[in-house]
Amino acid sequence: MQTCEYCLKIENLTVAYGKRVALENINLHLSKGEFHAVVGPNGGGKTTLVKAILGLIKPLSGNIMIFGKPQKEYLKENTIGYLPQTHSTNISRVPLKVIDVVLMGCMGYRGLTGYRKDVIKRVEKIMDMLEVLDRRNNLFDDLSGGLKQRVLIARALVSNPELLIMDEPTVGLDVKAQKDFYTLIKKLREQLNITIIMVSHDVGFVFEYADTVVCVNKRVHLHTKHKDELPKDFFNRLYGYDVKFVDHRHGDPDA
Amino acid sequence: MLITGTVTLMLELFKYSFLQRAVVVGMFTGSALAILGIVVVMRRMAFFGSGLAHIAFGGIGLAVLLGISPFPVAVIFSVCAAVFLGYLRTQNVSEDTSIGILFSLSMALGVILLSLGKKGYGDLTSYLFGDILAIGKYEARVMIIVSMIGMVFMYLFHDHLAYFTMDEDYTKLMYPRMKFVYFVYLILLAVMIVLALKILGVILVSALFIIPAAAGLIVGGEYHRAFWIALAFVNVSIFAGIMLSYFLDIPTGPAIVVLEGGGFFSILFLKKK
Ligand SMILES: Nc1ncnc2c1ncn2[C@@H]1O[C@H](COP(=O)(O)OP(=O)(O)OP(=O)(O)O)[C@@H](O)[C@H]1O
Ligand SMILES: [Mg+2]
Repeated sequence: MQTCEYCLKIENLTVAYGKRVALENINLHLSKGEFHAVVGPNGGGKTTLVKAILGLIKPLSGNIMIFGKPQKEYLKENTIGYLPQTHSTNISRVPLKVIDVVLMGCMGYRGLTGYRKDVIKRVEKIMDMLEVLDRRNNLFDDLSGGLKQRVLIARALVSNPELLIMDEPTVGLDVKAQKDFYTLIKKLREQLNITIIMVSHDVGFVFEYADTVVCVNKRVHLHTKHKDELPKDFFNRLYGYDVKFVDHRHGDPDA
Repeated sequence: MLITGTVTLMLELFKYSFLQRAVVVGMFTGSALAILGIVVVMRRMAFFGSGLAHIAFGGIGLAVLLGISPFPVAVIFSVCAAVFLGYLRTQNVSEDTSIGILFSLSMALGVILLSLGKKGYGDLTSYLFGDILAIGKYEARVMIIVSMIGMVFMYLFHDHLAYFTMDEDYTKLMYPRMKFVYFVYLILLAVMIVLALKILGVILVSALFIIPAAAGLIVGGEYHRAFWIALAFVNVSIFAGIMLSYFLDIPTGPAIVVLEGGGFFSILFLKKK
């Protein structure tokens, strides 16, 4: 197997919606097996960056390599685990059962008339890990927001991806569910040797757990390996005001 | 009483080949459109569908004026319109608006073209309301074959289309050929709608792809079940509608639509209780 230390190499990426430039000349190298956090203000272009990586938006210019392969080639042969930002889906229009939603993650393995038994088995295992298996026959739309989010995380994981991209996964989760989610991320990293890219506004969490932090506001503002290297006025520059660090351990109901 | 009545009715039915044909063609076309219609209803494309039917009318007008067979021309018109609408959607014109414009434009064109022809307005009512009893052998064969293609397609791709409706980006990511599948779906839908004009005409045809699907989704709750309920619903309506029109001597298309509409609202109110 060919080895390559980078999971993602982005060069001179520029993305625009019509005449409005959302990302300008982005250069980014993210290494394999690590947990990368993407932060930035609303409208900064985080979701746009994610969609460009996934090939869902055609950039004006630029080059994206995933695990050493050109993006198109990689996407043809592999799936990337993806958790979209919640408001970008039309969930309520389609009365899908929870199990069907998770099966969306295995579309590539679908036979002509349905899914194989072993695919279903794996799906059930991952649903069990996320504690949503007992809801398999409920309508997805009837679940609470937090449970929906867990089902969507399961959907992102069922294809056994090498790369998992999550766009604001903890939005709508209560404190316990957030804690569970962070534990899950840890577990995933230990068990699956997976590279994770996660968009988040949860600055406290990001600096506790992430290996690198990428700040996107039209350009990549900062990309540091060690959180200690952050300049003092970093958040002020990024968001326009000082961000208070929220320590998760104090918000934990079990503590 | 009821049983002997039904039996006499059946015997009566099979004496006339045009009635036989009407029932068989009606059931095939209705079934295919009911299944395709589930996706129409989930994607909120009801206006798109009836738009395509009205756009076909322009093609009918053109063909009648030129003295050629109207339905192939209407199919071409509607398929082109479906593709054009797909293109307009990427151009920041709302789909609603572009359908609304093409809808009236093509209807107006159709009426003008028909009025220019030698026969005046000709069979205007049959184009507007359809006539299932007047379907010929050859047309029946084409309708049955295309309906079967539509049903097989939906059997293979109903999951893909449901996923696509729920989460477009995600589905494209997981299944790169999704855009093509959706494109084929739109073309099949356009062709089926134009063929069904024979049965219900430009004005009533939307009943076939909206009412059974809506009933299926309301009763079924979950979308796999919705397909079966829609199928049962449409086949009962079409069979009963044809019988009703035959024995009461009323127009067939409207009889089918009235039964469907009545059935839908009964279901809606029974479900509420
Ligand atoms: N589909 C679209 N059409 C036009 N402009 C868009 C579209 N999507 C995003 N934009 C614009 O691109 C810019 C970046 O948006 P993006 O959604 O990537 O931001 P974000 O960082 O994800 O924000 P948030 O934190 O609110 O999720 C914004 O100015 C936004 O208005
Ligand atoms: Mg976003």
